[in-house]
Amino acid sequence: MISCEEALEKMLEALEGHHAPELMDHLARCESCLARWKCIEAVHTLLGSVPTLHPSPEFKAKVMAAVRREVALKRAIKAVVASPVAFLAAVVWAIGLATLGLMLLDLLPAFRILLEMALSWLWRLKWLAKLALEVLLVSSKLAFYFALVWLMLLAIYAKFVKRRVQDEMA
Amino acid sequence: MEKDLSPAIRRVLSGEIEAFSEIVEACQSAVYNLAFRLLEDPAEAEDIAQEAFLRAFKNLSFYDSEKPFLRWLLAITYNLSMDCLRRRSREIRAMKAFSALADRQNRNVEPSAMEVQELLNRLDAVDRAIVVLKYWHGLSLKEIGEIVGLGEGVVKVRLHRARLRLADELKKEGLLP
Repeated sequence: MISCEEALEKMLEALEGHHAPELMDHLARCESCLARWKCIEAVHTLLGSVPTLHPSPEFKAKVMAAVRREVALKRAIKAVVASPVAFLAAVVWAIGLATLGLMLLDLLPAFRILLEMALSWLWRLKWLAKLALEVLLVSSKLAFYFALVWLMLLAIYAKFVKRRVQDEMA
Repeated sequence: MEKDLSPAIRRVLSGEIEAFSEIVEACQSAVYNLAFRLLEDPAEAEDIAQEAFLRAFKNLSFYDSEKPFLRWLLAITYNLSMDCLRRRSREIRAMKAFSALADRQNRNVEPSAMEVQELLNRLDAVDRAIVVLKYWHGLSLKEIGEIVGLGEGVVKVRLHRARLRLADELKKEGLLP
């Protein structure tokens, strides 16, 4: 005869549809396992008998509306991104980033000193270091104005994108 | 038997969006049922089911066609439902359960189904999901493990533990001798 632990294992297998004759033998002789089996079987039957719930009748329409919105939004963004305005905005954005970088360079005096030291160390290229620093200085002054223009263009572009998306959605 | 959705999936991927409605039609009950059994609230379950379909639509190109589509969709639903449960506080959950009970009464759900849902609510969310995927979706322990992110052995143990817990609860309620 199998043990109670083995019987429990066989019970779980029986629930999966693999009935073992030795389980029946065990249950015929062991009252506690029989009681346990009855409980497990009752739960199994109860759970198996409960019907599946269904969503509301308009559920499918709601999902499809959301899917169509998603597709419309994607198309609108694609159309806007592929437009010449987007290309121009991307160019302006790149220039803006570059100028911002130069500005940061100018705002970091420590970095400037290090750069000067490194360049002057190559004494033959000292004139190049001076020239580079001059360029940095001039460009950093321009950077602030570039950044302002960039932000203004970005705001205009954002408004344009918003209007295009709203049109597509409508 | 799961309906073969691969032709509809191919059509959606080729740009025929309306073919997605076939997928929704075939899977909506399974997805909603899992969300409802986990969240206990019909309105929230519909929101999560809708979100699951939308996410499936957005990520359809990443779906591995070698695996059953419904299982992939159920995994998305399970993850969204668990996120939702984590966001909820205990008080809100209790309030939702109360309103869900009233809603079910309004919908004339059979008493035995209500009783079972009440019993299920006493299990923790992962055990509840395992029981639902086993009994309502007929998935194997391995498939359940893939959805809930646990090994087959752990799922087996948790399923057994959940059954015993439910048996205890049934005894407490006087529904079992």
